[in-house]
Amino acid sequence: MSHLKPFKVDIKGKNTVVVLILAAVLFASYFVWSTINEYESLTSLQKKYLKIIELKGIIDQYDEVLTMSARMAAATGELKWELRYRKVEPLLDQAIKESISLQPQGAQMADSTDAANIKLVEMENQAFKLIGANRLSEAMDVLSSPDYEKYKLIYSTGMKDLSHNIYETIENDLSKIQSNAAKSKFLMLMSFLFLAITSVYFLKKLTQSNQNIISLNASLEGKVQEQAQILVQASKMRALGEMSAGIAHEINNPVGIIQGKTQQLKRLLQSEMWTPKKGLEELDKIFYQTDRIAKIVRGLRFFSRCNEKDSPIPVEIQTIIADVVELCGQKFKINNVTLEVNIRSDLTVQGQVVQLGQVILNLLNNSFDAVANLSEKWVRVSAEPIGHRARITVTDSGQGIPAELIDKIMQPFFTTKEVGLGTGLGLSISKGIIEEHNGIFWVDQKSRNTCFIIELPLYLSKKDLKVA
Amino acid sequence: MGYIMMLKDKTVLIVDDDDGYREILCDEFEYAGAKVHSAENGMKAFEIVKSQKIDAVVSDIRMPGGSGVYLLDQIKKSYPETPIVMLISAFSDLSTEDAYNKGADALFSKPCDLSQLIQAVHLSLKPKNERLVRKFERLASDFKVEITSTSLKEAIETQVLSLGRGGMFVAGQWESLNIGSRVSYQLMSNNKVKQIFEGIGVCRWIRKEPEMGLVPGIGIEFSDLSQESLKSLENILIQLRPRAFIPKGTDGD
Repeated sequence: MSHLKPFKVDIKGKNTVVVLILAAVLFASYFVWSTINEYESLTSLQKKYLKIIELKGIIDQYDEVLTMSARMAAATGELKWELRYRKVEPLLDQAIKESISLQPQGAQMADSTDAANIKLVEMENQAFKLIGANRLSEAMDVLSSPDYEKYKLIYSTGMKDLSHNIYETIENDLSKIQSNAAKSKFLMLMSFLFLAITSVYFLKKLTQSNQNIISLNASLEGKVQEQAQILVQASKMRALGEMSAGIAHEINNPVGIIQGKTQQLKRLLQSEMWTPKKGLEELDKIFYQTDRIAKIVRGLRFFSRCNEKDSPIPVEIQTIIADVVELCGQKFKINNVTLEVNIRSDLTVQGQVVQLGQVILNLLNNSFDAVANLSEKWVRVSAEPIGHRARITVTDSGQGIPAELIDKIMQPFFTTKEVGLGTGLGLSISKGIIEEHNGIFWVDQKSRNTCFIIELPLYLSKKDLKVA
Repeated sequence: MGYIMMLKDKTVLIVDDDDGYREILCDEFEYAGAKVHSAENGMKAFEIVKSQKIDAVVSDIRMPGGSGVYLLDQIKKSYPETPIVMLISAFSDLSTEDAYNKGADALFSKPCDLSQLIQAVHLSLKPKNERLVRKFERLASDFKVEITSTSLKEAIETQVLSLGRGGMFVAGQWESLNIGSRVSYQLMSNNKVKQIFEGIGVCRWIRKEPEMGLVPGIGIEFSDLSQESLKSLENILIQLRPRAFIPKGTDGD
């Protein structure tokens, strides 16, 4: 008997899939992290840039204001210009300091610029002193002197350098962010790539599994059919097992008698009592015993054939039932169960002899089990024509089948017998066999006793068909 | 035919439901010189046992209206001394183990050699000392079973063996021992043979694995015993009065 292997859908390369997904997740999280970083760098850079622009404007403006204030003071001698100068000067200083702080670390304003600034402040203070002494034209001379212009130029170039440095820093930062952004793009692409590979891999595996399942399904169907056949065969073998004790008993007895009779015949031949008449009598007795054995062996043919080889042939119901009764009759006799058989001789059906015999044997065995322990023990088998069908009825002295069990008894594996006594397959297999023969099989609920009915189409020979 | 008049003056009851077979058995036992009664089932047979003097019974097992097992039980309950030979087969409802345990004196399976069947009945009717004490040769056996114990009583108490009327159960597991083999057995203590119990028998059944609470072991039917061994055996059997011919196991009978 072949056994079904437990089936497991196996996705090969589980590790590969895990690695792919992990890689995709890793890339994706790195991408998110670096994008957040870029955003933050970009925001701070933007603030820095705006500040630079603001500071540059302030410095240019204040520088001009200082120069203009000094010159206006020199031109008009009015005090308000100096006041303005004094007010704006610290503001300019602060803006310059701030600008310097924005430079890359370690960079310093060139010494020349610083010196020029000091010089300019000195000259302007000198001018304010002269203005204070009302020497306006001298003050103007200082402020428009070539030296003043020279320092002014040096200072403004220095300031330009400073802002240039700062712009450069910003550009550096910006290009860093740009390269980071490129990296992120790459990461994102990689992450998508891995996800895509995983999906394709999965799809491929799914298709493969699907195909596996389809082919497995097909082979399972085959196996189920195979198993069903094995079950039919097994139930036949079980019936045979049940019968074998009776069969052995039935065969051993005539064999024993033949042995004994031949021994006696031998003795008779050697004795003075020998006459041909006596010899013939003994031989007849021996022959009768061989006939007994032959009958049993004929009954056994049910079990000697395999189902597949048993092709449908026209067969008389009487023959089938007589052979079955030959097989199990001993069991009934030993246990005092009356077995009545009443079959019309002209009922022919077309079918597999072994299988039909098996159904009858199964019903008889069931009936036997049901009545063996009752005080009233009988089983009746009858067959009669009903229209174009033959009706076989198996009734026993049991009290019928409870209504709630009627549907269940035909189901596979349902049994009311004790554990080990029944497989619960008999009736379901029997029903299957009868239906395969275009027949019907049911329990007669109207009967007072337990009653199973089988109806099979009658076989009509060509001659019958012509008459019809 | 060597058994002519072997059962002279003995009354034998033949029980079988098959008319043909019963007739053959009756003929052969009559040929052996026995007075024969017959019955077709266990119930009718036991009625005859109750009403007539029957020396031995030969019975089939499967019969409608009172089986051979019923007859065996009834006879061993009411007439334990009456030997009964059972015709069992591999398909019988009764196993060899159970049949001997229930007290059957011999078992045959159908179809059997009728001369051997008559020999068995003949043997079962002999007293034990005639039946068992024969030319006893220590090594004339296929297999040796050593029972380690200082006395038969101790062996029984320690459940190494249990005794029946015609054989014994010895607990243990033996490789390469076959049913039907001749077996020599002896009590051993400190590597010395205790001559109080030694002999030869036939292995009737083997239990290789523990079964239904019974330990593994073998069933041996006694065939040859030394005079001394028979004496010690008889002494113990008088106390035990077992119904079993060969007990099933250490729980005895």
